[in-house]
Amino acid sequence: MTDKKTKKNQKDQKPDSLLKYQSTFPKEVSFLINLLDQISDGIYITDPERKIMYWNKAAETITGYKQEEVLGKRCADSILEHTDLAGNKLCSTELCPLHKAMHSNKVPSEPLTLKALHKEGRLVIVEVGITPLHSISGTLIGGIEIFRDVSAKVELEEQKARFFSSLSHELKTPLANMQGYLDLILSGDAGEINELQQEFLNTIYNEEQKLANYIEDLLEMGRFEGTDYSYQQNVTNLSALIKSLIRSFKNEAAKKGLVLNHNIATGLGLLGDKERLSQAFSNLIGNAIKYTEAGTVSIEAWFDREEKELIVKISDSGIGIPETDLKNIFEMFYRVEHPGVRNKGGTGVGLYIVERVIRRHDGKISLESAPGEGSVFTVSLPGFIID
Amino acid sequence: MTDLKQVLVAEDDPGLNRLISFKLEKEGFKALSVFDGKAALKTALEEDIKAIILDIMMPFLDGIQVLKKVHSAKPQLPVLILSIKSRENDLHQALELGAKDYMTKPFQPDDLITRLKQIMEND
Repeated sequence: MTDKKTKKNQKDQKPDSLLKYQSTFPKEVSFLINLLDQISDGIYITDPERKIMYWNKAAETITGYKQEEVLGKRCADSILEHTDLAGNKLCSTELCPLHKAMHSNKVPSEPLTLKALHKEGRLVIVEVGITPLHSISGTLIGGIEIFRDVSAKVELEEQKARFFSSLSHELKTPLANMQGYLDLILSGDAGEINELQQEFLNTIYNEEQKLANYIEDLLEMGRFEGTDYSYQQNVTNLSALIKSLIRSFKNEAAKKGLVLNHNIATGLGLLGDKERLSQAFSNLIGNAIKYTEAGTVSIEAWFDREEKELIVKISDSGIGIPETDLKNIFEMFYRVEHPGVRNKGGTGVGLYIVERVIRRHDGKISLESAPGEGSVFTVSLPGFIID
Repeated sequence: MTDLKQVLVAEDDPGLNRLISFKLEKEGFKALSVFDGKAALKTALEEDIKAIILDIMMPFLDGIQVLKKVHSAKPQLPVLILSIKSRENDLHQALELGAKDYMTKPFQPDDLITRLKQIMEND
């Protein structure tokens, strides 16, 4: 008897809340509901107050909550409880992406990667799309969130990143040994060598350096590709980061007889991933030195108060880039052929990574260059001044 | 002999450790080789050394931990970090923790000596 009663109550509750929006929706609604239940992404629909009116089958699977348990509640009421990847709660009205989409028309242009709470207490990583819902007459009747469980994918990416990190160590140690000992022999530290030996050892040395450059590219690509989820959002001091990169390139520039000028404003800050930014600026400064045989490499950085942007300008007096190559320069595996210039060993991933990292930080990169007249890369990134 | 400046070489790869020590002795230093973090810390604290060349990924105790402890005990002791490029965060962190300079592997032995002399002079 009691069982029957409960069942009846639930039945009453479900059609009731569905009816609520059935009245505002087109008649095909039951067909649509059926359709939504077949989709493997989690989908829920709320009223303008963020109260849940519909919760599909996939949402039940991903979160562990049945539709009956969540109808009429808000997703912030112990359901989903979205946080960003750093763990900051997004449930308050001001931060809620769904609220913002419905009431301030701030619809995210790309899926958000967030964490969600499973009924069992564990966290699930989800990719979330959000959109407000309007009736035919244009009045706001609610919002939709579509979410996909990407936990397994993220876990795989993290495994891959760990693998490349250890591979990097394993590959570079023997390379460092080979280069180092060759250096010792070539510089005469291990005793005299004759001219022919010198010539042959130089060939080994040059080829080994090319190999090292290829391996560097391969590893950079390996730890970069598909790791969009793992971007950190930390306050990063770009001034300090660039200064320490300049320091690491000082000797390389000096050895080629290049002047390495820099003028870096202090306290340039942005919210971002320090390691990725370091990777990007290291590629830019490294390229400037690699492709300049004489003259100057300059690095300037300042804060544009009007645009609230950090500007970093990297100029060199190197071989430059022909106009026909400018538009492709940031594409993966694209390489500029310089007639008469020895192949330096590279696969064309450096600038591709730079562009991706800058774009991921909502920044822009531009390039001015002409053959024989050097290159100027200008990066602008949304930022602020750290007190 | 005791007049030679002692430099601690903390590097777990035997080939690289020998390479660095060999070059140091060519340049008139005395190299003290250790192959793990624990030994690095012990030697750094107990011996009269003038500088450390410090790898980051080492057994028992990593270079960052060694740096922290050595820097608090001997803040004036110049430390040059030697690591691979793909661990930028470690490198930046090491500079923040008081390392005087860093180099990435592969490196040129001549460069290493130039940089080492620079940080020892700036003392």
